[in-house]
Amino acid sequence: MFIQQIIAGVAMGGIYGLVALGFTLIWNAAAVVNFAQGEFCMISGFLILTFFVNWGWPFPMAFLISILLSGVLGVIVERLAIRPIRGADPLTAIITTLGVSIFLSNSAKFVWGTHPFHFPSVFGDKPMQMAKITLIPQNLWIIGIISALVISLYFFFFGTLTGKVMRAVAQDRQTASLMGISVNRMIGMIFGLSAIMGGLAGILLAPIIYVAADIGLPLVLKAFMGAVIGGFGSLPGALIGGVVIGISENLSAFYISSDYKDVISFAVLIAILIFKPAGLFLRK
Amino acid sequence: MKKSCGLVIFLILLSFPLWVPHYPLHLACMVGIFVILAVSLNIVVGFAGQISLGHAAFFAVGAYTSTLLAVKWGIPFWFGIFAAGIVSLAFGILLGIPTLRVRDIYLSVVTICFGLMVQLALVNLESITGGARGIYGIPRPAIAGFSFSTPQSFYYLILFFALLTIFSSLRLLRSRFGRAFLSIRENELAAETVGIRTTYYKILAFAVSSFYAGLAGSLYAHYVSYINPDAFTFGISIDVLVMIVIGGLGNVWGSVIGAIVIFLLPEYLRFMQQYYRAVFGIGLIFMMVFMRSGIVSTLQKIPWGRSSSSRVGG
Repeated sequence: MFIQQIIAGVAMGGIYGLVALGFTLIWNAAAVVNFAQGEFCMISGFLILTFFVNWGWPFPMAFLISILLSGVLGVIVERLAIRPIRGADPLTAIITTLGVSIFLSNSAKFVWGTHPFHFPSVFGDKPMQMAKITLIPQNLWIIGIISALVISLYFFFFGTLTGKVMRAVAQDRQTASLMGISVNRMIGMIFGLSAIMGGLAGILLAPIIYVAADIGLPLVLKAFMGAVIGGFGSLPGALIGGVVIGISENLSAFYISSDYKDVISFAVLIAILIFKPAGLFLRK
Repeated sequence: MKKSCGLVIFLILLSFPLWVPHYPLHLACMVGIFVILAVSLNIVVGFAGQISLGHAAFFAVGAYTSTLLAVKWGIPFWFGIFAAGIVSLAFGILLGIPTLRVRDIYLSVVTICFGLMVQLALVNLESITGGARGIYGIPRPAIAGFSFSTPQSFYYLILFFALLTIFSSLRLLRSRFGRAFLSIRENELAAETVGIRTTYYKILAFAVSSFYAGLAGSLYAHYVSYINPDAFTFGISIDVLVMIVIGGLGNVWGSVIGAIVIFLLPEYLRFMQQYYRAVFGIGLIFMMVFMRSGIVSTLQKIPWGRSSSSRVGG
């Protein structure tokens, strides 16, 4: 039972980790905390619901189109809302991204309604028995997809020119622009990439919980917790932190109380921010 | 000129219940409550420069404290509102302590989490708070046989507390406390170097701010006579923050104007119906991009007829 909870926690945590990765990428590149990051998940959840369930498109096509549209949305958000306020004080940035979040979630409300929608389990939720451990295929699929994504992200950032340029921008915008890099275009692309990751997280999340217009903000907060636990600004840290949040949330829901699991997570976050603001892992 | 202007506005406010119909008077009462909330949040965010996105939590603590005292033990409103302020102040100190360690974005997340925790607690502690259904039949305040049971009479009560909040925070701004808050906002390190106990003043800012928010909560509960956790959402915290940003951070009268504008806006934009909230989001982005310093200071920058006189003079 314990191992089952751990695996479910890792799957959920991987999703938080994806959101946290996108969130951290944006923070590193544009010095903006994107409270609208969870809305990319919400929108792509609704998109795949429309394409796959309502219109009956084949799943891979619906999947690709949804995350691509999510990426396009990310680029648009960057161009219209984030670029004009870059470099402003934190409060301005916070209100702007909250404005984006309010706009997107309320737009979704009048397009798709306020009720949560059930999403069919495409990856299979029939438990399999394996050496006394009950495995749910869906969780394994999620862990597999996220691992594949993380490995390809690694090759993207360290192996391709675009990836290297993105890292340069994240490290030092001014120097990057002196080297002839178009910082604005790169930040736009980073937003697109983050939104694609958020979109993927939203699609993986849809069969686990449901699709609804107000899932964005809680997701962002959990992702933020993950990012803080892993040491804010570190990409591997964001992913690991997300997984830690997922596991601890699952265990506390199972062993303590599911009504209070969010209260517990928030309290843990506040405690970490106060006592270990640099994250739980030692960094060189 | 300025004094007579203020006097005229005061007289208009005082005579409001005599000539204003029922519904606008109800709006005026609600605006008054939000004026208290905005002015109180301005103490933390505008004066002391600490970002807070959990102000609705103090509003909730005040409302539930005075409600529970009145409903469960029959304690009169006049003690209840004071208790609401004090309990809320205690929570303010509790939230103020993290501000010593975290700032800016971390602080905004701590305050969001605090607000959500309080709301979740209100929903889950069903035996005390009535859970999601809330608490009905909160009595209207009464004194010496006179009950504030009509909106007309309650209006004066809210007006009194709103003016009290406005003028005491104006006074606070000009006191040594206010100057200490401003110095922390402008440069915390420098403030510390010249001997200002930044720790003490930051907690104090949260404490004072949450005290007023607690008063607002108590007034709200006794005015609408029904509360549930939906009245104290994260959305309310954002709205109040937007009120003070629109009014111009640190500007007390700006917060008052911001509260009036943001509270009345949905009333005038009724035709937008369910689109309103989405338009509100766009409006926020627009505000942040084009008039970051708030409407009051943007309006001040427009040379209202002053240009002609300067042309004559120049």
